[in-house]
Amino acid sequence: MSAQFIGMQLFNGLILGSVYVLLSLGLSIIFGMLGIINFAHGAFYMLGAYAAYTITSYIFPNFWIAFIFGPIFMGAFGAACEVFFFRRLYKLPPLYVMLFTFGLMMAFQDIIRMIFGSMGVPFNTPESLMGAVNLGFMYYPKYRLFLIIVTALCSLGVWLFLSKTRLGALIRAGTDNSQMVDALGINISRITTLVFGLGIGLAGLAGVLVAPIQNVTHLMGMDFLIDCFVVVVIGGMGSIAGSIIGGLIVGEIIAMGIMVWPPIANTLIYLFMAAFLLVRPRGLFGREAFHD
Amino acid sequence: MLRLQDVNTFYGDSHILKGISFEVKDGELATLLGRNGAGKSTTLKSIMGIVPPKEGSILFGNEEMVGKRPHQIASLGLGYVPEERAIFPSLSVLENLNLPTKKNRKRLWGLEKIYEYFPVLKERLHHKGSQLSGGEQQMLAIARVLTMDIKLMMLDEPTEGLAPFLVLEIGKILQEIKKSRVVVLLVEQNTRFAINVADKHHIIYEGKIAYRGDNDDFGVDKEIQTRYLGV
Repeated sequence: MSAQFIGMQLFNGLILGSVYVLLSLGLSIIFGMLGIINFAHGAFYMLGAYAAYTITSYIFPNFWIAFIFGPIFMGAFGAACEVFFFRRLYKLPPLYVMLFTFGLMMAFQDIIRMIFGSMGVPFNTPESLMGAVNLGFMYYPKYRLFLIIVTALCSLGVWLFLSKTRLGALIRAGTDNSQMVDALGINISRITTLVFGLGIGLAGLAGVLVAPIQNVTHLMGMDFLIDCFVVVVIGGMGSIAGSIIGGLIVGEIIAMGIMVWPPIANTLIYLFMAAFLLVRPRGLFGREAFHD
Repeated sequence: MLRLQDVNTFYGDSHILKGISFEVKDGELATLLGRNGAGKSTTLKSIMGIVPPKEGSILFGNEEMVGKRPHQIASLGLGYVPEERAIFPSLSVLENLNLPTKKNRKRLWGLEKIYEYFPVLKERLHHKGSQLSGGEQQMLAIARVLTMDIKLMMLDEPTEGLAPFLVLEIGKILQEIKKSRVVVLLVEQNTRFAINVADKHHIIYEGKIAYRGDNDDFGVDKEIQTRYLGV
């Protein structure tokens, strides 16, 4: 096994990890604030990819337009879903909300299948990002490098936003105790909408980013969703740092697994998760409180 | 200032407040006393809109509170310090203090005054809420509400579990709050503390107000204290 192959796999793990990070960030902040496990998160990610496809194929044939407006559109769509659907369900037991998100996932998948067919749609790498870059020790596709950098910047942005701004402090406070935020005179429902929009926007961004390197099909969110639950369990529910570290760990485990023996790659992360649940059920950065 | 009229509140099927009526006037520091489970905390939560009453009226000034959301009630000038203090553990002390929306730039209790009366908070401004001791959490919970320019402050057992010197400290702070023209409604289990700080007392017994009286009368009425509070 050459050093270059190992380096390549490490970077591929980073790619996979990046997508996990973007998805679990959203999954995790939505869970933290609303206590909802959003089964439709993978479907929102898939919609992000289809939004990018629709923009580049029918509206304006430019990847960068899709890159900017795809996530914004998805964020707005997520916020609208919160206002029109989810808000009605908060008073019910969490199980109902989970069932609802499950139904939403099925509905989104079938709607996309009806419109675009079950074969998936083609999506090209933007021309400016074709080819490879010489990293000194190996050549690596430009687009994949771009994906890693965008994810790193996004994670940094989300972290700065949550830890340094007043709005971020409100979101953290809402995650800690949303009832008390309300009792301090702050209209929590607007923050809830924002959090939902932000989470879905990140899922949308992940969808746009993977469109050129993955099959864009109506089922593309399914596998990723399950893996993201692994990430969230390992990182800790509701934790930003946990989503980032957990996402990268899971990505690398799969990439390393492929190097050793491909059939075991996906099984490895579930074994890892099972071990984690036994030893440290709240995950790397999860708070004790969620397991009371 | 605050007037409850025949307030009935339920937790699911169980009837907790069975027609509570009482009044707190401007400039007063009043208490709600009573045994565990009598309905003291529920009364505060009903006023705050956290557990909305099914029947009755709660007037704050001239405005009806029943039917309003907690954030609307809070922004009318009601501050609530819950029993569990509800400090946000992942926010720093300063972030906790800055969280409530500030309406006026010039406030009765600006940060400077807060630091003067709560020196321990100034020392720990950048510590996370999760790193504070019980006493520090209580101080922060009170200070956080004071930054909101409130007219009425409701505290749920602020002395619970605190060392005697901290209980004294809280008593001093309550007097200072009263001096700054903020009305205080205090829920207490510690009858001695209540007698030391308050002007007026109400005893809740089985979801109703069973006794009301001035501090001068209540303080010496051992019979009432034994009957309802078992002291």
